[in-house]
Amino acid sequence: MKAHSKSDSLFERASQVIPGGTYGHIAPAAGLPRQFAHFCSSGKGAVFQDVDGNEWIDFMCAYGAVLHGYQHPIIEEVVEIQRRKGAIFNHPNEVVVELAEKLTQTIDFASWSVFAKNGSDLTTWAIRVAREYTKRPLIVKALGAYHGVDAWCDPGIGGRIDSDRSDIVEFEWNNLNQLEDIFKQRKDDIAGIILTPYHHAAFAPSIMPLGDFWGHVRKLCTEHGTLLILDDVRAGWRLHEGGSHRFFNFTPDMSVFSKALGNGYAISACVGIEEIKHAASEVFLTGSCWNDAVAMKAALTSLTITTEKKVSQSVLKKGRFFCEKLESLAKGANFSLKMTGPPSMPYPWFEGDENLFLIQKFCKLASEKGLYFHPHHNWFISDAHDQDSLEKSLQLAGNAFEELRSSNL
Amino acid sequence: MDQTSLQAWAVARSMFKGCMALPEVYKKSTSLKPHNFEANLLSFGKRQDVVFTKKNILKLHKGRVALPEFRFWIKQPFSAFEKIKILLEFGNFIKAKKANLEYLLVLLSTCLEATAVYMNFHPLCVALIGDEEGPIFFFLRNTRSPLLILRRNKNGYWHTQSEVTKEEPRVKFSFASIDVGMQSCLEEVNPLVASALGDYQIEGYLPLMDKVGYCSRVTAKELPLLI
Repeated sequence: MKAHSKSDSLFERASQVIPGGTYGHIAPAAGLPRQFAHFCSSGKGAVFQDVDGNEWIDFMCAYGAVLHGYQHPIIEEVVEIQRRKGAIFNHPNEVVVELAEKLTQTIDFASWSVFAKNGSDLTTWAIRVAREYTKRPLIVKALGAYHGVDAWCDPGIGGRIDSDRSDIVEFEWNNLNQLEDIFKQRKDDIAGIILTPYHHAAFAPSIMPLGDFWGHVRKLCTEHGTLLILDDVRAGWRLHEGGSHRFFNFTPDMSVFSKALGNGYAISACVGIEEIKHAASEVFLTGSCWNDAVAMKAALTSLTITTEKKVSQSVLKKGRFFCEKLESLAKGANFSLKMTGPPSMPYPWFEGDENLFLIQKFCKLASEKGLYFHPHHNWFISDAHDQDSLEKSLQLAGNAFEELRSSNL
Repeated sequence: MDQTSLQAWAVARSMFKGCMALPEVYKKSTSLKPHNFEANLLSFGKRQDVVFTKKNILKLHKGRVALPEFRFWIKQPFSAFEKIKILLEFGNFIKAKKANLEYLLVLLSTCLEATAVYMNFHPLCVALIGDEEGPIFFFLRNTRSPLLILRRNKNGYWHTQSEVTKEEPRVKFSFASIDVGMQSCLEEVNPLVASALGDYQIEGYLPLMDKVGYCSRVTAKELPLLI
């Protein structure tokens, strides 16, 4: 049993002054292994330490925000230099221009970029740009898709009123008939469709686009003058160095990035096509600390490393190795495990485990061995996962499968 | 269902299930199953001997004096007296607030049944629960047999059940101790904190438990258990 006394004690203190102790996706939600710490202290590469000094081989990568590993030396060096000069001023630092230029060079359809701090800042802004451009109200999204914390899309329950979603329509991922029906009924009202590159809902296996899903969606949007917004916040840079649309071979009108963009420094970006640049300038956008030169330097350096070292291909390859071996280890212990979704951000799914008892048990056993496997969310591979760390993790996971089998006998 | 009817129904159902959880009156208490009767009346049992106005049921919930309708109980005074005795016994049992398993069972049955009613009829809760299916098994940690089961019946209505079936749970909810269970029923613990620190253990399909938990808090806010 790992120690978690300091973690618990901190959480008790937190619960006195923070509603719920901690909140959102990092909250110590029910069903997570009790071994999971509530607070972390440091990280390096593919490993982090919790406040009780326990070391974890990490397969969540700060929920995707860390692509090159914790404390990547080149990024940290650049960040440190900028930090000494300052982060926030009355006016933007020149790095904002450099970063916008870099993004428009990297993303094939992009002719402009804007920046904020969080994915939600810009998914919400992007749908407003679509409304401004089309002068229509309706936004279409996939049922159960996560696009952030704002009232039009958040997965929570509290504080919601009916009007929050009165101009949001949902369809089932991959169900093109449903989507076409929405267009038939509301074609003159639809400002935009916002979708993730593939369906990566929590508590369920990831679903890849079937057939020419993206081709059809693109065609519908083009035919009806609707903007196609790609929410690439979670998947961005883990599928393709040029944006996840390249992985699936289609072209959106706008893409929103965050998470891996800054390798752990808070930044988000929205890029778009030339045609909607004017509309974008009409929709108000600001935040006191959004022109954070430190985070922008981190993003610029991270992007440069990603493109030069072809990091998206690298994490896909590492993920493929890891997922295949893990499935094979599961099979050896008589479990049918499928690592769904792209291998760089796989979601583990035991066949027949709709109520999630088996995956929760497996992740609990794995946590006792220092593996940070999340039972309800897709995992993330970083480029800091080297062969040694992956093989060590597989060996520990193999032991966890054996224990799982013994406990199920 | 208007708010008075919803709350009165929730109180009556929870009293009924609370009484059923009292082991010594189990058989008798089955006759306390509430029925809506005329526009503003609720009868405990089909015999229409113990009949309250909905407003009086809500008075009972607030611990105030409220008598059953004279014109009904005078027709069948003996059976009415038996039922009233059980209801009084239930009230006294709840007020005693003893930290033991029997008490937790009664408390849990009472609170969860009110939540089940809200999940069936409160507009916000109905919308939230949608077509989710149970069952949810409630345990005391390290025990094999559930304390109570919250499930949907074949007509689509949520209700509590003490009989164990062979059905697989969708969610297993375990209290670390009797005290934690009691505090939970009385809304004296923050569910997020309790699950983080291991006072609760919740396994299985958590999105369902999130919704049920929210409904239970809506219920407790509108109908707090006044002890």
